[in-house]
Amino acid sequence: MQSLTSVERLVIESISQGPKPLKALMQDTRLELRFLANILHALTLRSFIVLTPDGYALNKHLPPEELAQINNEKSRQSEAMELLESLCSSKDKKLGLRKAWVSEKDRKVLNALIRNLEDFMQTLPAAPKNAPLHEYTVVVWGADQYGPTVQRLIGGIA
Amino acid sequence: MSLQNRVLSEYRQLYPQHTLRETSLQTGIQLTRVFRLMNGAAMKLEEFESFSNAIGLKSQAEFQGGAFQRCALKAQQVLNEIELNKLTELIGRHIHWHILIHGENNKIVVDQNIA
Repeated sequence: MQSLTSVERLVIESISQGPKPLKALMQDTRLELRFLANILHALTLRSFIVLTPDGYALNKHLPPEELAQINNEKSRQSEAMELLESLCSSKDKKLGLRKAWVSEKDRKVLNALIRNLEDFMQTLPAAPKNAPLHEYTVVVWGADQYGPTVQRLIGGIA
Repeated sequence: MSLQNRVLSEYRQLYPQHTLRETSLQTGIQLTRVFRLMNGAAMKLEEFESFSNAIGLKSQAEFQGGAFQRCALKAQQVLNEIELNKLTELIGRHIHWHILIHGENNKIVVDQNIA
């Protein structure tokens, strides 16, 4: 079964806040109508969403195993890769990546900074009630040594 | 239509008057083998490439999808099942994206802005 693309996830997240008519979906996601129409069609065909008098809504009768499949680790990884690709390919360098020698002492500082960022993200207040989804921020963090990072790629291929 | 049938069909369209002998001379494939291929025998990779080259000579363009098809054939030869499954998922996902953005049955030319 195909997992969700990140653009389908965006629409599902918008609808999960409550049933939405087309115009509200466009405002929330900032997706153009021509794309949104195709995405809604695809999601409807797969029974993830249904059209109600209040607009598009999540299908409450979707079998749990199908829901589990689009929310499993592998599916989420695929979506994360798409978002990373978008950040990497952005012209104004939204994502920084560097390979650097980090001493033991500086590694502790780096780990603390990363933990701080993680704590910051965990303790952010909930979004205001009508905050549009397209204004949310995608944040990436983490670090690992060069060797193990490349070894994992080899492990994925070997 | 299978890839083999496509390449033979394209070849026949570009060289409608070619006899089996002329096809054999052009592709370097033995005459009896050409006959067998035209009658459904399974084509080898080298034979496919010979036909593709012949098509390329006439149309001055590589046979549509040639590079991709060659890559796919090579993948099937060298990659294991897990790797092939990963590739399949990747391609499937790419196709799905295309359908989401452009709808089904819409092929976008290379220089057209996607979104």
